[in-house]
Amino acid sequence: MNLDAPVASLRGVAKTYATDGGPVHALRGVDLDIRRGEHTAIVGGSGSGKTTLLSLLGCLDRPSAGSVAIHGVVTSQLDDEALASLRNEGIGFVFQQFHLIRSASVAQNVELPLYYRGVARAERRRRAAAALDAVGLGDLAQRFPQQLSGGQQQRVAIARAIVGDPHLLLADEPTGNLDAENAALCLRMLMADAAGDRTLVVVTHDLDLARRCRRVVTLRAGECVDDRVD
Amino acid sequence: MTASIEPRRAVVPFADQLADALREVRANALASLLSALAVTIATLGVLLVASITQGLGRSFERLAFSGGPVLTIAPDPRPSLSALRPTRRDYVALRSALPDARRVSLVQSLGTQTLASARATAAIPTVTADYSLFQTGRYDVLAGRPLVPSDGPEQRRVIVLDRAAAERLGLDVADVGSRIRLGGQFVHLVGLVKAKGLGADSSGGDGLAIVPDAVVPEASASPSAAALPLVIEVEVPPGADLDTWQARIGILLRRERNLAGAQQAGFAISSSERVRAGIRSTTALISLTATLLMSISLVVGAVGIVNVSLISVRHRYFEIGLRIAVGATHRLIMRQFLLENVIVAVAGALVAIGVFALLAAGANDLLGGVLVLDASPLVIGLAVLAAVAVGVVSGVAPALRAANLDPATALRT
Ligand SMILES: Nc1ncnc2c1ncn2[C@@H]1O[C@H](COP(=O)(O)OP(=O)(O)OP(=O)(O)O)[C@@H](O)[C@H]1O
Ligand SMILES: [Mg+2]
Repeated sequence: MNLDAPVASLRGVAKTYATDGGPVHALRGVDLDIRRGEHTAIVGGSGSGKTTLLSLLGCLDRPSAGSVAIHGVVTSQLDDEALASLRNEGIGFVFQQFHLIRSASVAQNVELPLYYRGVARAERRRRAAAALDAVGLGDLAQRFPQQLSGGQQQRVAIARAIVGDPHLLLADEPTGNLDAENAALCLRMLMADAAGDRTLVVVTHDLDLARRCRRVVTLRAGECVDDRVD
Repeated sequence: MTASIEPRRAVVPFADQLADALREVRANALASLLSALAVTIATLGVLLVASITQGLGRSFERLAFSGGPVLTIAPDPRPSLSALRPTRRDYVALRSALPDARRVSLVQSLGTQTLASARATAAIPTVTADYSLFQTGRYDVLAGRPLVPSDGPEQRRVIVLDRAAAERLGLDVADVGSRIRLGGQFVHLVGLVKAKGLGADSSGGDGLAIVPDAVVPEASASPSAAALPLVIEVEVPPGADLDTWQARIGILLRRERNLAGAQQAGFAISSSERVRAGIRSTTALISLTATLLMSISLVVGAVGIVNVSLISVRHRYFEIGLRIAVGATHRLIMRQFLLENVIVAVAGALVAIGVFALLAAGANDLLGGVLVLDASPLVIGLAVLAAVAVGVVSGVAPALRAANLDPATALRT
């Protein structure tokens, strides 16, 4: 594992889904390096392959062709345990639909990555409380997700993504279900980073949001057609 | 920082896994409840069947005669053979010819007699018997005494009642010594007894009155005493070969009648052991059938759980995808779902044991111990084990489906 290597590196990555109507080529040969501390927006039309790209970056899926390397380690060489550990320690996810577990309290939702890391309960509590404080929801730890507004739920999801202190934050349309005010708030929280070396990749339709990222990658029909750095 | 990006294998403490699984069981209340119900019914079925067959076996054993093996010589009911039925002469002959028998007793039905105590009058099946009937523990004496040798034909003033007969006459143990009217005369109640042997209490719930042999009140007896069905019981020493005894008795009685080899005898010799063996094989057959039914119910229960769990897994796709996204291994997902199923199965089994305990208490009260519902700890342990096994086995398919879920797909809405 090499910290000087890009946080994530895609080489000739293709993803083809087999469907009843024949193969669907979601990605066709994408080369992309995500560098440490960089904030990248991925834009493109619906069906252009943004979510697919993000799940490959997050090791939730394997490419049909090409290679994905995280910190220089090619993920196809890793077994399930190592991949799980990589996701757990290195990557934080935020989804458009928040994806909070309804049966678990806000605090328990935020603790989940630490639970799978084997962190003791008291320590989990403490760190979840800190993460919730960071998103301004310290008071709501004992509530349940369905008792929160959409903006609050997404902030809980952000707390869950950052509680394990990952290097790489992946957000898929994080503001898609939020009004402008909450969108701005959540974006600020995603970008806030005390240490300053957290890497953020955010998929968005929102050009305003995209403009706030230093780098904007545009996908069209599974190909990378534009890669702009201010 | 370098350390935190080295993949390392995390260990989630079991207590945390249990707490997590418990929370999900509670959160998916309906599915959990349905699965637990299936386990409860299946386990209850196992417990009931196991204890009922156990109890049946025990009741039958208790019913079976507790003394030595008994050969009963009873009349052949075919009218053409009426002249050859067992007689008092046979009884006398057998008594002298079988000195090595534990007892040879005569029991002759007097039909139903009208008995009247100070409290009630009832028609009660009555027999006349010789005292030897009571010698070898065929009856428990509840109060007073059984018939004794001195209760001979010339001493015709005593009677022994079994419990049901006493109840119908409004009598209990305190009434031993009181007078009872039998036909045109009074007799003294000398004892209350309870039959232990098979067929000894063949009167159903009507009770039985026993008077010493030849106490037949002429007035109330049937036209001719000789026409009354007469049964001779021969109790042989424990361990004796019943077939030999049966052959011996058969030869004796046939010689008595001057019967040739192929001729019909007019009597039938039956053996208590044969009845007991019949009961045993019947019990075994019942157990076998019950076990089969029970296994089917267990399988049906398991299929039900599999179904419910599979549906429940489908409803939890996003949750599973999310758990994988934040670092759950396939093994942990698998274990979580198995654990949830085991929790539900154990809960269902515990409820079943509770219900069973209530049923057992109720049934034993209601049936007065006729049908004993008491499962041994072994049976209860096995039932719980079966429930857990059902939980694990039926949890495998849903757990596999959950663990093999593609998280990327699951997390798309
Ligand atoms: N599991 C799947 N099976 C089959 N086809 C799929 C699957 N997932 C995605 N696709 C297809 O792959 C293509 C890319 O999908 P993807 O979700 O990556 O697009 P997207 O850029 O995220 O779109 P949107 O902006 O609408 O979210 C689409 O044509 C989609 O239909
Ligand atoms: Mg998408």
